Amino acid sequence: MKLASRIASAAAIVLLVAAAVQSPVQARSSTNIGHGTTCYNVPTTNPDGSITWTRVCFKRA
Amino acid sequence: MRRLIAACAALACATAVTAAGDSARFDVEAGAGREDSSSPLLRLSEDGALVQIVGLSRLAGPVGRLAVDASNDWALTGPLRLSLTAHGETRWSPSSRSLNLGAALAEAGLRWQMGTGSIGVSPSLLLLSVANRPFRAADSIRFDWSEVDVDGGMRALRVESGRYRHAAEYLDLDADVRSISGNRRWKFPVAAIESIEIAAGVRNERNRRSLPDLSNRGAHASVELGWKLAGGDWTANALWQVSRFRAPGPDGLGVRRDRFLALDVTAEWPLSQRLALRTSLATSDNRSQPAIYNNRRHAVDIALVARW
Repeated sequence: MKLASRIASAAAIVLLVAAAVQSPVQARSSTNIGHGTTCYNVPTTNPDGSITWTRVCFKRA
Repeated sequence: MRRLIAACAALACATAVTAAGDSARFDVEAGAGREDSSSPLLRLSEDGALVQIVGLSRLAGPVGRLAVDASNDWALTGPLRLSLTAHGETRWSPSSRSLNLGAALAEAGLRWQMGTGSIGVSPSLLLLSVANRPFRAADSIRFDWSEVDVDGGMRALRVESGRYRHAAEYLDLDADVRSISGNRRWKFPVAAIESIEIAAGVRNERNRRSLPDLSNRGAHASVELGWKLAGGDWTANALWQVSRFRAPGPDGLGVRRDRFLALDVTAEWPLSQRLALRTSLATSDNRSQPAIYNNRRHAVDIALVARW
């Protein structure tokens, strides 16, 4: 086990705590994919045949 | 990484213009703000001990941001639909390179409609760079069931399996990740609070380098409120997350445990049919054992958003 690499990993995780965790509300509004969230579109077919799209955002694994 | 982000942005444009149907979506967002994180900066001393660098324990500075996002959807046979999504984002700070972040995402999806609900399967690839250096490539496949009500309410459940791969200096972080998460949204068109959404999930990260101190399990829950005020759409969100690692870290660090709380408020005002002004205020606090992972983050941001 390379200790220097492990410490660098620890520091990187600290940086990610700052950079990669973002709440769903910002993802919904701005699709901040790099910040730990993802959105996808769900279609719903209306009675007249038209399609309504709903955006679903969630915190990534 | 910048080439990859540019390629992803180009793919985003191509995805959006391939078909100009109602499902095509193309957003560009340019923002500026300020961030402040209290994360300690760490270094390995000559005798191998972990040292916190005094005087460099804070990352703070102005941040610029540019993001391009596009998606499109095509009807295949019967209730089957194909979707493509691309996203490129770069964030830079003139005062601290460590605040720089790059992200590129490509995702394909097959969705089977069943009445008001649908089942989706979506493979994706996410590339991340931190401080101008490649950091992580995350490929995953997600299965979801999502259902939307006529009034805008929504239910969704997801199962995702992914793999983290890292640049050479961070290979120890390579991991397999599995998660289950869900959302439930209620809409109240005529009430003061227009929407309430709750979300929750659990995840398990298993280190691929047989380093149990980097394997961890976690859970999160959040609640979001939406309302209209002063001509704008407002949302407020609270997120609670806990993580527990499986074994003590190196250099006598002990077993890591994180408790993370984030709060944010965002408001958006339409400027024209396709242009909007958005501002957000966010704060978060990560309390960790050991304390070297403690972090408090504050961020304020204002952005112009263009949608096609």
